[in-house]
Amino acid sequence: MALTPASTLLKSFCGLCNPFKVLCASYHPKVIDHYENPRNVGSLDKDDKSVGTGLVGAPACGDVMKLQIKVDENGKIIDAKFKTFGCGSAIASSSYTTEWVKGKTVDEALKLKNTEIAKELSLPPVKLHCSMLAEDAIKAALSDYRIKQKKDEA
Amino acid sequence: MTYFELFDIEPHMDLDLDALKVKFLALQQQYHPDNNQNDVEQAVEKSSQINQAYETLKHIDSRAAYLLKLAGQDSGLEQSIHDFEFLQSALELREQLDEADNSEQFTALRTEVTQWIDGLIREFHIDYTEQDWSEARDTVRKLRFFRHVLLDIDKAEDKLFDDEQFDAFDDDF
Repeated sequence: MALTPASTLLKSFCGLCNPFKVLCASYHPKVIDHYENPRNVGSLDKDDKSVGTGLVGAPACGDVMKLQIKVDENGKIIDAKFKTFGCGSAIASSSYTTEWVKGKTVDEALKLKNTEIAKELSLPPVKLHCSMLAEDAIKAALSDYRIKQKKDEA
Repeated sequence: MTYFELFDIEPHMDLDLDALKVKFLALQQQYHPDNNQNDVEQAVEKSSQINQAYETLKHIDSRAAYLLKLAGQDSGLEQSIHDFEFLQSALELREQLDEADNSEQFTALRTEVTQWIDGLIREFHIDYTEQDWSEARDTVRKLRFFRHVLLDIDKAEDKLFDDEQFDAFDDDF
């Protein structure tokens, strides 16, 4: 539900959401901000060797998250894009993550923890798995980038 | 006592869901606190166990997860799915669901997901028989994933139908 209007946020799709409608209706303003104005939505060329792609799925809610980074020759992340199908928290988590990694080095980016994302967005406990998905996605993107670089050296 | 033993069935993926329901209702009747006035506490406990067992065995993904649990191989089932090809198809499916705006499209999506699920069930059979636990866990994650996709298809269709009704209502005024 990456690009639908904000009005659908409260009827969001995340499977875990429904038993917790009250919680869903009271998203933290930061989550709503990232959902209404998602940063860095889109795609990068996955065949570009300076691009790392992470694609992960959550069994617990059926969400899918694609997160991509573009790294310059000094190992600095100069661009990041995402495409997420899931609830507001999953979209906000990926949006926040793309913002956070920009300007960081690959090594710095590896240190991002889901707890940091959850804290920044004030995610409730039932939504922690959304921030874990974002951490997994950035890790997968970084690992994809490194594998590509190694292949290039070889 | 395992959930399978509780329902007096063989621990297996293939279950007759109708028979399971009949058995469930009979057990609920048998352990209903009203029928067990001499030990209400135990009846309540048994009753809740029966509910839990039925919920677990009823759904294909939780039944498979339970079989893994019985084999002591169910750790990490909550972990993210990393199968790139699978996720690319899932992403496409999600995109189609986002754009779906008529019943035929919803039906087509449902059929596609059901076919995926059938394939995964066959895979689980093989993984389980060959005791390839890591593959079996991966298959269970995907089965669980698809249960939620199916629920989302239902929700999206309901929402569309509700909106249409609302529009029709709007036109009257």
